[in-house]
Amino acid sequence: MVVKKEFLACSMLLFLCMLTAGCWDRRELQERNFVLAVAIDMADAGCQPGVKAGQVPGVNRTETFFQPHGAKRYRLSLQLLKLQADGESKDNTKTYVISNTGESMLEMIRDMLGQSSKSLWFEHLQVIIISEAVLKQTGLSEVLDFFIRDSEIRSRVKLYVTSGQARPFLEYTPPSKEIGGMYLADISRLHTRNIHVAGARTDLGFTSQYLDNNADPVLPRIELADKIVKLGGIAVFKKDQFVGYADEYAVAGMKMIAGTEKSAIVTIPCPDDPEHQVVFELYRHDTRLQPHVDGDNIYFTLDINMYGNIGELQEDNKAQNTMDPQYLRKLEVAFADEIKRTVFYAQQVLQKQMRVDGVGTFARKMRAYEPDVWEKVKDQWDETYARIPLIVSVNVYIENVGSHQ
Amino acid sequence: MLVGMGATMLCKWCRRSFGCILIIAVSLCSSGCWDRKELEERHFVLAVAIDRADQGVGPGEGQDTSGVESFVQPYGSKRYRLSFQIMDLVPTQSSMSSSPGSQGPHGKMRTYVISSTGESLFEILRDMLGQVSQGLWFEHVQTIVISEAVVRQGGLQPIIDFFRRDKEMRWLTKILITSGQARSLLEYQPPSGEASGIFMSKILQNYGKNPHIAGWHTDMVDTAKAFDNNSRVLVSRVELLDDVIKVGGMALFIGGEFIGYVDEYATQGGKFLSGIEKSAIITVECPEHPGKMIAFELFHQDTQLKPHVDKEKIYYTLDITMTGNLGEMQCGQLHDTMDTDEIHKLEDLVAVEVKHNVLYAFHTYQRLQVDADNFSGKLKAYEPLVWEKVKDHWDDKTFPAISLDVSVKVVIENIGEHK
Repeated sequence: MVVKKEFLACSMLLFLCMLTAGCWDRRELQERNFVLAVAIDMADAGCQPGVKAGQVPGVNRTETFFQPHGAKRYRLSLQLLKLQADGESKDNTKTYVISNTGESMLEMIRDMLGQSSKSLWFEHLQVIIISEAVLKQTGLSEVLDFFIRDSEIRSRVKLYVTSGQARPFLEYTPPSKEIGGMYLADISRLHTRNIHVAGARTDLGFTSQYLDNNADPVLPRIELADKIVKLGGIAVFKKDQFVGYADEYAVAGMKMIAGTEKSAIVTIPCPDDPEHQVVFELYRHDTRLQPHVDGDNIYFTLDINMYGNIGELQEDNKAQNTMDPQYLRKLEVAFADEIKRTVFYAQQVLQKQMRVDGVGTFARKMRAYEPDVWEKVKDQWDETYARIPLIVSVNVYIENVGSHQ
Repeated sequence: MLVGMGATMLCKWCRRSFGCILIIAVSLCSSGCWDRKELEERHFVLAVAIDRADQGVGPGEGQDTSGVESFVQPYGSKRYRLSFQIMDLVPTQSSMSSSPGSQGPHGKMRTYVISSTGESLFEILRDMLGQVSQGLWFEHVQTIVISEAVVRQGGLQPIIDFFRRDKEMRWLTKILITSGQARSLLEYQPPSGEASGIFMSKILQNYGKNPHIAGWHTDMVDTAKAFDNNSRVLVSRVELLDDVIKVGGMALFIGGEFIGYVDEYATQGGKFLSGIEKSAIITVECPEHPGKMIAFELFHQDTQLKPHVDKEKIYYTLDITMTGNLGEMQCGQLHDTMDTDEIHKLEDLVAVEVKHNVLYAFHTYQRLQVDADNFSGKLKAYEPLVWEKVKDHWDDKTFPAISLDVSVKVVIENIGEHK
């Protein structure tokens, strides 16, 4: 009896070992093809359903497939990681690009398995770059649906819009020899220090939220010219339709309204010597955007308190004494004026010209502070919003003048 | 006494030395090194390409046409060009310097291609030993690429026989066909740094996720079996254009004769017919929003193809139940995917599309008179008596005339991560 029990226990232990080792479905890293970046372009030429692959002008017949429905509308390119180390390889690239044409993203991705020796893994996707030509033809939600729906793709994937072709970004090798997709995504992580980059609330997760809530998403704009990549400015959307671009100055204003800036550089000409510039470096701020309802009138107040440093003073520093509180007060007022101007510029561009409530900042405040009024106006929010006045008051406190007077 | 002692001592010494010799002899045998052959002394052939030789040369004619890549041949003509992709295992100084085509020794696989012309593949192969310094090893052949020109000229039989007969060849070697030159596929350097022979065979392993790749019943064992049974042979199609390699669609053979290519859509439909797809993407256009695509991602299917005989008439029924996910809905913002009625509408749409796809494939195969999906096997199993009657004219008469009754049920279980 004892022997039997022991035998049973032993065999059970062995059986458990097999289960708990967890190796039965292992998949080695080098057996996976990690997709790091995705680019969505227009296919060079439209093609009607039923046309055989290879008969389409401008589309390489190995980069397409026979498609029963839809047109050869998009060109989807994927940047894949080379996992094999190659110290001596001639071009030193760590990634390569494959692409395909079609209409459904998922169908193109699956057909691309005919070009790749390993199955594709999207869990480490860093960035999706969409070319403007695509957005002029279709809405954002159409091209993003697959990426939002699929469970392999993370919400923190960065989204960029470019005015040219998106594929060259995937082929671009950064001068630092980083992996292209990681490099592109990491640029936008510096948004806390670079006020020109709209990095907060613009990734895939937030964008899908805005699309669902009928808010207006904005996406950072990325450009590539002569081997230089630059992120700055935004592409502005009305619901999911592309409206246009706003420049870096408007981005700065927008971030100040929403209070999403962590640090900022505000530059003005010196009050006494306009030939030279003086720079305020923002350390922390207290921003309050609040809606007010007065009868039928809705208006917003924006109170900004900014605390920071004098970052740079190009004026002859013998002429001015930065230890003089009077002079600092003068600068504080001048900076406050400039911040006000920035905010109004953003308001002018986004609210008046484009009539876009970027990332739903105003709508969100309205819903939170005045839920009853929001219920009434939410259906005509677009028209209401365009007429809402914004009252801005800015206080700037210069706490320090740097390590040298 | 003394003599007796001496005899015992001698005997003892004798036995000891005998034991020692035995141990040495055994260790010589059991160490297993007597016939060792180091890895770098072998030339592993990773891929084989068979092309048509540029020009036929009659028997006995000289080597003037293709120079050193040929030999004097008593019989037959210079019909084939056989190329091998060989793995270069020894890192040399020249490969360290980065010349195009060669790879650095770290991780990347360096290969080179040799070729020769002739008619008997075995003869060409042995003659190619005049071009290499080590023996060729075929145990790791991954892919055999055949050019369309070759099979149009002489069919599949003469070129496949050697690979079936030789014991060094593996059964699971993948066969591919290309419409262009097969040799250029061996010279192709995939961007991932693998050897193209391995790269191509691994692409075929993606067939579970990509229904455009035939992948099933397309390796050496299936080809050999189909040959022996006089049934169809399916070969996946690979194309190389401007540094992009792509597998999709397939070529059909009957009795070694090249019948033609079918496109990716018919390949996918064929997989639906046989019920061997693991996953598939089925796209339909949204009826309410033209130009917007909806993609259904298949997770699980249950397919039953059954023959029925009604007097003289043979017809088949195909019942497909597919369960899966809503993979992409480009007009997702405009629909309420939480609404079951909407989902039912989509299910119907996808079912119609699957039916269309299956019939497209079925009619393609009927038109080509190729029973690619083994309808005959089903008849043999379910109706052996009827099969005996029709088997002689199955491909040319019976199969093109049978009708197929398709019923498809699609269940969308999930709508993805986001509504």
